Amino acid sequence: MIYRSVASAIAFTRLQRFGGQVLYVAAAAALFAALQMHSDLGAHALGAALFGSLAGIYFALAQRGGRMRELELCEQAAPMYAREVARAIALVPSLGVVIALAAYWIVAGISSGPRDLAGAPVLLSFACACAVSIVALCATVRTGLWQAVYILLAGVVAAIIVLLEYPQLPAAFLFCGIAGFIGLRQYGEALARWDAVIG
Amino acid sequence: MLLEMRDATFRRGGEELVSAQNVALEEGNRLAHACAGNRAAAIVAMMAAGLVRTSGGAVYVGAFDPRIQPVHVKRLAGYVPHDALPYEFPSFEQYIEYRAALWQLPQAESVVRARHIIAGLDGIHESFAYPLAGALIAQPRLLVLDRPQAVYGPQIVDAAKTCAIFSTHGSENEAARFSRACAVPA
Repeated sequence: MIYRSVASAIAFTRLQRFGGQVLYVAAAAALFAALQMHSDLGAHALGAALFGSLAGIYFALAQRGGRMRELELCEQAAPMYAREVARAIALVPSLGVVIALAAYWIVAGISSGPRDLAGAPVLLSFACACAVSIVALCATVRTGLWQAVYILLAGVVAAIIVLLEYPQLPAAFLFCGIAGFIGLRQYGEALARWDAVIG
Repeated sequence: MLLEMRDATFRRGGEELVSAQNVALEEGNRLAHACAGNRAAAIVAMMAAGLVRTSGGAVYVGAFDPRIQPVHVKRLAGYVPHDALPYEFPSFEQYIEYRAALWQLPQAESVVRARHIIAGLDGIHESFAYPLAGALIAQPRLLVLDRPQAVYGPQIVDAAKTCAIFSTHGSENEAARFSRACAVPA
């Protein structure tokens, strides 16, 4: 495989590493959508945003330690700025949730009928899950209480987006963008200070 | 001076994991450095390769301070960890392409160079040979080895050619054994 950029090398290699888990989560998302087959669009949108957010937190936390250790050492030893590595790693949970939510909406579209779906809630569920997974990535470069705080913060971001969705859809999209941007900046800065020593 | 450590220490949560280290390594030379245990050896190797910042003292690699210019340091240093096994990659070529992409090297050319390096590492287990070849494709000026096995010393020296070698070891005995194998002073 010829990688076109540093970001694609990092993202594809990490995705390959936990491709099986992405498939399991996508299958769970499809099952969840099938169980909601008699629900309306509002219930689907809420379910997709919350399921996608949980999946995003899980994918983000899986990016550090364990089977990723060898890749982490390669990335840390490579002559790259932390912000470049942060952007590339952020692609991985984001792609994971996009795949899982695509499975969700395909099944929801088949079971409820495509006419019952609308573009904005579908797009918002993707944006919400991506923003939450990026905020959750900040927890991977912290330990103890601060790690728990960032996981909680990711959950709070998801709750705010879901609450904003109905009265103010554009505000919900704006909040996703701001949370994702700040989360990515934070992650890059924390990664620059992070040391690869375990324990 | 290619690598210089002046009273470099590493602390975490109030515990000193690495006590003051003093190292001086000239271009093209080799040094087997004994540390107080395996954990300290792993951290000192990371400090020399610019992966970990010192808590006290200073480290300079080619006159660059890793705290200020980590990217410059990583261009000079090739790091071979003790426990990172590239088994998860489907093939050696894919592992080298991945590393070449990270170091922004021409990927096809890097695979050819890595195959040439691997051919010279006959008898070395692939869990060590692959990361070593991966580190050498970027043609670093300093090769940092975290606890290499003494038995591989001659092949490592042969593969590194004129590149300076800094290896860390968990005890004086291991450092001395590696030095003897490479025929360099400890």
